[in-house]
Amino acid sequence: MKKAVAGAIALSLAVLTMAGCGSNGNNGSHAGEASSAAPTGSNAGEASSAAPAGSKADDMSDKIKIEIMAASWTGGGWPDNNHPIIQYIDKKFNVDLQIQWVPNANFVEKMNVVSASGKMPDVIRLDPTMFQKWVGQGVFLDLQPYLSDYPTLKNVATPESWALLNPEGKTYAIPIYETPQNNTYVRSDWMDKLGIPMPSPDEFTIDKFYEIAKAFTTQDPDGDGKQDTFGFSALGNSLQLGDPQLIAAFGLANGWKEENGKLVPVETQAAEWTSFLTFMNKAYKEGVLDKDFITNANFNEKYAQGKVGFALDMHYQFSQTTNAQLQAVAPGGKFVELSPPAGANGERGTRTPTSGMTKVVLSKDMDDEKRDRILKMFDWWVSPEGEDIIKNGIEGVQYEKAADGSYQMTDALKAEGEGRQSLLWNWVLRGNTNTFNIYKWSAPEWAKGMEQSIVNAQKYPWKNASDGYLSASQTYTDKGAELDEKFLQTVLQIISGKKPVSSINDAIAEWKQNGGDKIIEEVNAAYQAGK
Amino acid sequence: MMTHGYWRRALPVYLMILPGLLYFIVFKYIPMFGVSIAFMDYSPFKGIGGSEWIGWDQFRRLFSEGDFWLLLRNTLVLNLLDALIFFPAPILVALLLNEARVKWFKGAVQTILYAPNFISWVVIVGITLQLFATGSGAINNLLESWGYDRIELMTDPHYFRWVWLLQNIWQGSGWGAIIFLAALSAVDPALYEAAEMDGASRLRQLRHITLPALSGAIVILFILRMGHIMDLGFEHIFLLQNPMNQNVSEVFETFIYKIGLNQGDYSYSTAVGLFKSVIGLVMVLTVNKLAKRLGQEGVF
Amino acid sequence: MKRATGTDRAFGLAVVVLLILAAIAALLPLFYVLSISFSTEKEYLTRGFYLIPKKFTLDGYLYLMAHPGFRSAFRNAVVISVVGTVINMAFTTLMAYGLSKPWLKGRGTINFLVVFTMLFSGGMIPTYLVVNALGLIDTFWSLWLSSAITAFNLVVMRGFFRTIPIELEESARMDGSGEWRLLTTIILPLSLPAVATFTLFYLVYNWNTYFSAILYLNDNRLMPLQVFLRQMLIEDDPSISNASSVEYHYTPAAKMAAIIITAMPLLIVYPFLQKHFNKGVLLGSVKG
Repeated sequence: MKKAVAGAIALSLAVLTMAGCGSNGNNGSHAGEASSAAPTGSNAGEASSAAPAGSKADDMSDKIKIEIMAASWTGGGWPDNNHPIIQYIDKKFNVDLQIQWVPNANFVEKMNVVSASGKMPDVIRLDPTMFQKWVGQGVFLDLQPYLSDYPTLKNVATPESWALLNPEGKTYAIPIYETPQNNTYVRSDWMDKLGIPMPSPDEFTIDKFYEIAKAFTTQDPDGDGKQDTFGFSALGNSLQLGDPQLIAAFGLANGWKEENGKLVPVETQAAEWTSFLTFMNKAYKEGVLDKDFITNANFNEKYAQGKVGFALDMHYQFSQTTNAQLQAVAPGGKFVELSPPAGANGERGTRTPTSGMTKVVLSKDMDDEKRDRILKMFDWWVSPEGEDIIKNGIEGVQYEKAADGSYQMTDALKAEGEGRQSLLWNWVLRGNTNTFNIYKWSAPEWAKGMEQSIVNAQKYPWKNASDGYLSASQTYTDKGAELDEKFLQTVLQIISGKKPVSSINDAIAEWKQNGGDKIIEEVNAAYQAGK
Repeated sequence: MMTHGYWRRALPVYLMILPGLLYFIVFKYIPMFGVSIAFMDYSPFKGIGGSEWIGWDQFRRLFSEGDFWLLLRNTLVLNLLDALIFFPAPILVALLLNEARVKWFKGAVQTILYAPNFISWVVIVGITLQLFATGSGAINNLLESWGYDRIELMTDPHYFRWVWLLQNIWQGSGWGAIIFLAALSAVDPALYEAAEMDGASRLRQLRHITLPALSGAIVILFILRMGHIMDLGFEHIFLLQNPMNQNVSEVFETFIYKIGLNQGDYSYSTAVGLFKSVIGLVMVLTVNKLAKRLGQEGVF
Repeated sequence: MKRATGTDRAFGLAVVVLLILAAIAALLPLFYVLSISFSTEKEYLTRGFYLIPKKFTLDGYLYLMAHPGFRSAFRNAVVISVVGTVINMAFTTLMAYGLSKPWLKGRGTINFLVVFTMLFSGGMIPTYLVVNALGLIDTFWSLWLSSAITAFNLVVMRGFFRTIPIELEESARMDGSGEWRLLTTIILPLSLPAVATFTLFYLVYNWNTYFSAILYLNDNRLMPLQVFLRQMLIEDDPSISNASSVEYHYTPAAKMAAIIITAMPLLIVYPFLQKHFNKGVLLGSVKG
């Protein structure tokens, strides 16, 4: 027995030393790569300064294999790389496009292993956390020297978006455009039933919101004789509770806000929290807030079940799906758009993502020809012509032109699901238009509503002031999630009446003491340096 | 002479072991150099050779986590419940099935109890929520209509451990029973016949024939279980977890996951894994020794 | 001969009652999953918990059958599972048999080395590097070889082999048969319950392949069923998927139908394997 233990330890030690040598060797070859890569880099720089790189002799006569890795979401990626859209691109640019769809839940792991093996795909779409973690490692291609040759691609984002999260003077990624698109939605059939007039944006204050929500709870809007409806719901899994518009109305920050030249985190806004939590606790007690909110992971079913009156985090396209589901359950049921409710001091906001936080990077380990080909492809990709193909698909395959000149989805696409043809646009790279969910065959009226709802949402920006600075805080990286979860626990306990509202002050003190103060300090240091 | 005889006899056996042994060396022992990542500030791009050695820092960080003792307590409590209550459940199922005399009945029940193993945790937790959600759960609606209070099964921290345990039992007992049923198939039916002739009651037969036949398998499985005294399936706990029950539901796996969301800190999670493994090893060595002292066969 | 006493009868009754209760407890949620797979979305959303759908529909199943991704994922899962299980059983049986010999030198050390791997693992990245170095990435071999043996199964199977009396080996050796013949003609037929058990264990393990497929495979054409299933069942968190902007909606019937179809092959296989470990094969032959 003892011998066996000793044996095992000896073996693993032996393996360890062996591996040590092995990976030293590996290190050597890495260094080799790095040094051989350096001249190519400078070469490229020279080339671009001497002659426009795009025109430099790439007649696209060589077929180039291009690997793209991107996260896939509900529904997954395409089952193979023979999709008509991919074939179209392959032919047009003489490439062999290989898309690797990785389920979003496991993207970090996949990224970890492929980068460790030194075989990074040529193009990767990364979320901000991963981009920031790796941008300093020198593995992404600096696009700065080449962008001027690809004007369409360059115009896909503002200079701020191109610069966001990058070190000074470098551009390691193509930024993904994002826009606010969430609005408040209300059951219009319930409003009619209870004889409540639709409030105008000016009338729609937080008090009005509560008044209507309470009527939804107590006056049996679904007419089934039971008190089983409620005003609004929430999620228990993040500090914004899935109701960013309510949080914003009480003056709470979207993570961080700027105040007198300093960045202030939402976790320290004691007065705002107190009034928000008083409001929420009352809503919970009176049944206006969904009693199940803590265990909700998303709203989809709640809305479709027809028991909730307000939807505070929904965008137009989603409301159409929900309305269709809802009408099977409650004939005539419909969610219509309202502006976010206004707080006591007139604060209003809706979920506001920052454009350019999500990035598309190119691997540094590629030759000039491949680089030029990819950039050329992307330059076309985000052009109106590219958008047409990449978002809508191929005529005759995904859609057909009817006799009257209008377009229709083919049966094949209908069976697969509308939108399934747009994966390269929405999951890999898209231009800066607000029409990402609008297709050639979309009903004109619907399309107008969709675009208008984005315009409406853009009226109430609620920006996170810390984008680009938060990652500078090591304390936040190490402890931020854990601290927030503790804070959230108190928030939920207060709302559900297990603790008095005043205990939020203890939670704030605890948050600050266990690392929050340090986070504030570190983030502000980065903020001052970056200004 | 003697050794020559041994090798003639043993060589074919070593050859049989060889492919498996190679597998363990190539796919288990060679990657084990990876535990060195726990002592590094590892970056996948620099590789194991190029990352900086930082010694015991990751472990120091682990032990100084404010929640370290909470994590340890929750992990041990859940594992203890699992070992004491869930572990015997499949044995009980196997014994009951073994006592069922009608063949088709036994076969049918066995298949039914096996089926839950194929329902994933997402679905199991989803169904539980549908039954027990505080506001809309079907059972809570019933309770209320009968004049009882609603049970906050999913958010009251007192229930968390039991919900987790019951779901484990529901999903896993039929599946876990298979191995014990296989062990029972080795029992000579003649033993039961003889016992019956002697007028031994079925309960007596159970105690003196069936249970002893299972003891070997039970001991082996228990020793192996003890090696995982620090491990819990991530997904199940994560799905059941919410901020309200976090004080009892946060365990090493979920904690690491949340930290990873921010940074994917591979070195830290490797260090935590190593810490858990060392405790597992100590447990296996201890229990194995204990089993041998009690006259049972150990696992090595 | 047989005399059923009162206590025995009570005992027998208690066994049956307990088993029926357990079966009902296992069945109710399963039945719910089954009935949702035949339900309309409307019924699912409005009725709460129910066992018999009022309106019966096959839409969920029809949708899946027509889905090209589902079909290819199903095919891949079958190939991965069948070939994988054959490899698993060959490696495991040989090694377990060898290690069951009490007279074999080095047995204890090897046993310990095996158990040690259950506790310590190099982790995801180093294992990936080995699979990569062997050139297995993007082939099914990466899945088959990287999990050729489950240490747990090996240890337990060895335990089974050890219950076979050593006299058998002695007498076979007298007849002049070698180890190979001994294993294939005597030991394996006697160990059918163990063989059936571990075939089932490996089959289920291979069928459930998810994470290693995500890591080791890049080509979507190779992805197995569980990868497909997960992407159906797990709904995106709206706050992080906002950037993706394709809101895809599966009906509950399609989701539950996917669960049922995924479980079906393993439920169908079970009775065939079950019959082997439900009857005592071992003893009759030892006597003969």
